[in-house]
Amino acid sequence: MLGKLIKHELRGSGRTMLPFILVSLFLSVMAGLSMRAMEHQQEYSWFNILFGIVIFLFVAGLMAVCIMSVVVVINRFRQNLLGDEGYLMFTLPVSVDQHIWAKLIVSAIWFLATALTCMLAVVLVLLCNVRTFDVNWSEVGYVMGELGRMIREFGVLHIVGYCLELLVMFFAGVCVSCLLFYCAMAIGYSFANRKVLLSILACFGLDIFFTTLQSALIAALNAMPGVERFLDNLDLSRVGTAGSVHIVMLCWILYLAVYAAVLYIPTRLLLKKKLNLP
Amino acid sequence: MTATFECRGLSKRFGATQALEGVNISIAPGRVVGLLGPNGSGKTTLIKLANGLLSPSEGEILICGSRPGPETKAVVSYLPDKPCMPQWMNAVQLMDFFQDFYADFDRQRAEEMLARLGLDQKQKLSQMSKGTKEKVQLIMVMSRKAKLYLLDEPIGGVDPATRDYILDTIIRNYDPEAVVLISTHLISDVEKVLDEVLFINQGKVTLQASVDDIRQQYGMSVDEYFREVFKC
Repeated sequence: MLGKLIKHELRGSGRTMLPFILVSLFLSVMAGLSMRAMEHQQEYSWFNILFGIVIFLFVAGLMAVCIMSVVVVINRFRQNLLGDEGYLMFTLPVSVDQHIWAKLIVSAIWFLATALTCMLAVVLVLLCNVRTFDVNWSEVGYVMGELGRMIREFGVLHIVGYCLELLVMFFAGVCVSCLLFYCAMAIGYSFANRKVLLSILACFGLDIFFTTLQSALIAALNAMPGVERFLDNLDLSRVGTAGSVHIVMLCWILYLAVYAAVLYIPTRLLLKKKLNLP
Repeated sequence: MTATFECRGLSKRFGATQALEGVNISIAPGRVVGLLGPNGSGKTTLIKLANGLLSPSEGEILICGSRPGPETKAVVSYLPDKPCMPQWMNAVQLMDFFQDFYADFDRQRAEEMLARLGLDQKQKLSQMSKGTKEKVQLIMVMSRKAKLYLLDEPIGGVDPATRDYILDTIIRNYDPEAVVLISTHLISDVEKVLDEVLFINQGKVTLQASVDDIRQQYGMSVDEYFREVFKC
């Protein structure tokens, strides 16, 4: 059932996101081509104005994709689960957990797609101007060679591990960000009136609460006897540089996972026990 | 035999407001039941509780012997009192959606009903009139071979011709082994299709009786008896 929820969620959000992504990629090609054309432009003419407009649209398009990814993530949760559509969604034979996970996974997909779109847009602009930028291919070859040497030095397994850890870290980060919004909306929409205003207030409230809590925890840890000595005596040389990076990344993932779990529990509880559909 | 729909000492409070109080109901399979009561009597709250959209404050509600959850939702077909289908979808996408989630969805039946309605299946819900949207929603709900149909105000706010279409669709398509619970205060329209009625007032069930018993015992129709009981 989770797969089916994801499929329909992708369909529901894709009809908003895909046009933005396609338009911004089209604009990046247009921007690249106009940059190439500008190279041959000797004096100021109407083409300069057109060039300025295309570049503005290109940047605006990329910004729009980034903004829309956040808007879609928030709006799909609000409309699909807390609005009238909630009567349909919450009477499907699926659990509240599956609803939340479907939303989180699809949000991660769109954030990833947004990041890839931005990268691809830059690559497209560069590809349109390979000659203009006078790429030194021997330098590119040198950089690639150095990259290969670094990979061999660290070990392929370590590099694969880093990539996986980065992916998990990205997903955990997306979960934390989305769950902060979801939890705030679940709180706001559990009231009878002023749901949007209360959701916004809850969002700020949660953010302030967790920032304060983190500062307090760090201060408490620093004040604990033995912590400083433990950190001083921590010998990471046994695991090497590559291993140390793994430890840091895993600790960060653990932190994000705990943070996400702390936000997930009240969100789930509110949707299960305090659902207040309009 | 296990009751299809059962409430035991069911109560629901919203803050200081008591929406339902000590409700005890048992409905055997194969009955068409009218949940009748004035506005604000607790009909929608009871139906929401049966769908797991609300949690009881006290007591329990059982669907085929189980508390509301994913298992009961697989056998309950629910028509809310407002449009709830995604407005960007068309009829084909809606059928895909229902087919994906409900094993008991009969696509052929849905397509036949939509064809009878003369509807362009590629037309988005957002482009349809209010009445057509309600009909499409009803077609989706009644195209399931569910064990319990919970229909919340299915004929509220529609013209008499549409009322007839809706009631006809309900009666033609429900599974004879299923329970159909119709919540309404427009009794004269639904009376002809009911086997049994539940009167609900101020959160309490005041009567559970068969339509024939009411007619025999009080010598009046359910509509007339309702007006007598709930006279202001």
